[in-house]
Amino acid sequence: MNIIQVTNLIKTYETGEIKVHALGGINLGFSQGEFTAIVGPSGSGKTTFLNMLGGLDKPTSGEIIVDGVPVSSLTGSKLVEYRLRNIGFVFQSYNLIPVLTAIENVEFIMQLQGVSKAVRRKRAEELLASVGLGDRLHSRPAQLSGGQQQRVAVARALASKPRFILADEPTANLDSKSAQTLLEIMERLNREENITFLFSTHDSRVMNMARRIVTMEDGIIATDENHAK
Amino acid sequence: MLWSIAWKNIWRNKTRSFVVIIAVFMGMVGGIFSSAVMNGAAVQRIKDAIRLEISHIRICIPAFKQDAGLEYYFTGSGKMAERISAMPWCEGVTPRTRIISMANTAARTVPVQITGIIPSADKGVFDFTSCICDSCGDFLNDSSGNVVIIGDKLAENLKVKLKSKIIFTFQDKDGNITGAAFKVAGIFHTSNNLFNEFRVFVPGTVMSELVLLPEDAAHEIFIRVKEGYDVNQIKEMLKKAMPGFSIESWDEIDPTMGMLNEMMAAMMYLFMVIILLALGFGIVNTMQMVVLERTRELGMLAAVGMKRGRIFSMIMLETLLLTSTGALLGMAASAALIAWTGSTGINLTSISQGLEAAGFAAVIYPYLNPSFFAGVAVLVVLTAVVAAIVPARRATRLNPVEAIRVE
Repeated sequence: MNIIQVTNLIKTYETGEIKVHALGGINLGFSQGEFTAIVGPSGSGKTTFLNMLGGLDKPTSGEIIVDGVPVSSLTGSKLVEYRLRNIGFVFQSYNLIPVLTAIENVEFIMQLQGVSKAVRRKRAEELLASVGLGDRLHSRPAQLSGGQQQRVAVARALASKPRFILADEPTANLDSKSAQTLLEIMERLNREENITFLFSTHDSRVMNMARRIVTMEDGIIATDENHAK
Repeated sequence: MLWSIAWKNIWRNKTRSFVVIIAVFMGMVGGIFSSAVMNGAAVQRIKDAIRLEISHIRICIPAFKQDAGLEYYFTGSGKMAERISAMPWCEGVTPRTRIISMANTAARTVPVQITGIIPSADKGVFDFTSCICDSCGDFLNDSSGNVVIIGDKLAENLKVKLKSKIIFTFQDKDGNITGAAFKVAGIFHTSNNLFNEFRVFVPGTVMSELVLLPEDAAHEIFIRVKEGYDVNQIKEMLKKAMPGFSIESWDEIDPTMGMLNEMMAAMMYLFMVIILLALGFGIVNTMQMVVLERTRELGMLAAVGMKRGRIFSMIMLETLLLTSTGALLGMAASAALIAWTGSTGINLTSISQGLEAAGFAAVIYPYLNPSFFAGVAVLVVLTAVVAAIVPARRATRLNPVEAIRVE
């Protein structure tokens, strides 16, 4: 049973009279607990596709249904609420709030959800411990390495108990050791807690770890392979 | 947490925030202290006018109010004053007569206004004794004969000193020209040069005799009200009790005082509005920069599920906290400065001639009603809110997809 069902997704950008077909009719489904890498060359439509799944961008046509909810037709505050409750985002450049400590960054999402202080503090501590940062709870982003910041970002993405996590090139700015650590943490979380991860990536290490690899070319799905381990 | 984030965000760029805080601080101190100086001068002018010139309430007949002619007197003033003085709110009451005269000395002839007073009663309403220096003679007493107290400016004009004689000529009740010589018994100095130049005071009994007015006649009765009583309420009460008389409060007796009072309040707020308007533009510019610099972060917040309203509130709070910090510090410094100069006074004797020509004292004691601070606080909040609208709206209109990509 797919938790995400994408049907004939098309995205066309218009610049004056020029039309660019970023997505040319995607049909895909993702089930609970997948660890999927979406790969492809630059301009193949990976980020556009993730933005559509994340409700950050609107398709020109087609439909995205998450748990029976037609995400592509949500607007305004309902769409924001959908993102807050259902999706965890991990960005390429971490995007932590620099004035908040690691634990405050993780708590922040839960506060937006209205979680009580005691509950969110406990969960934030647990999540940071699970990504190996139990001893850096009160460090600010500037006091953490790139790898550590990205691990805080993963903890933040998990904080809202999302249906799935979208990670756009999560290892692109990390050195190989930090990238490896991060991938292992995400893979463990996926395996142990059945959390669905969807990555866009160029990184071969991510591809090696993924159990499903979707390759995109010129806005369409070129291949869709299962690498169950 | 929104408050906490907003407060922390202010200190991301310490230099920029300090510049805004110092600008607001300076604007507040400059605006509030200048207002206090202007207000202090006005309050002092009004107090001096009440203390020396107009008192709290005046009773006269309506015709005298229009024309101030000698013939518009009323009798029974003594009994009226006696009844009024028995009232619990009455600090003092004094009947007066008033005529226009020419004052003549060997040196000059000038027009003056002679006021006939009952010295013992007058002391309870007006405070001339404090305006006569130790070497400047004495105030009148009830048994004084043909003596006069005059202002220092008039003494200078007429080239007279203590014990000099001045001949006053005027019309009596029947229209005959009459006159008398008066010896200068005292020379007063008030902060109003026009008053010092134009007003002279003689015993009322002497004056009544000279102008042929009945013994208990008066043109006006002046009342000083005890502190804590509402002058307007008492005025209304007297109006009901004394139909046919014109009864006015201090701001009606001398409408320029009433106008000064109202105009000063408006001027002070206008002054603060202009300062805050100028500061507001600076704050808008600063917050625009803040939003521009944090485009990616704001995009991330929108992406992860922070609603537009919260993003708007966050920028609004930052602006409010930034502005309020400067404003609170500025108000505290202003209050301290006003308290200090309010007790020591600001000595402007170097320009005293100009000030006294306009009726203002040369030493100004800055003063502000505490409610003005509350008014300023409301204006500061309004400024911050208005200044935050443009940057806050800009923050909420960012497209998360594009904002996240901004380097």
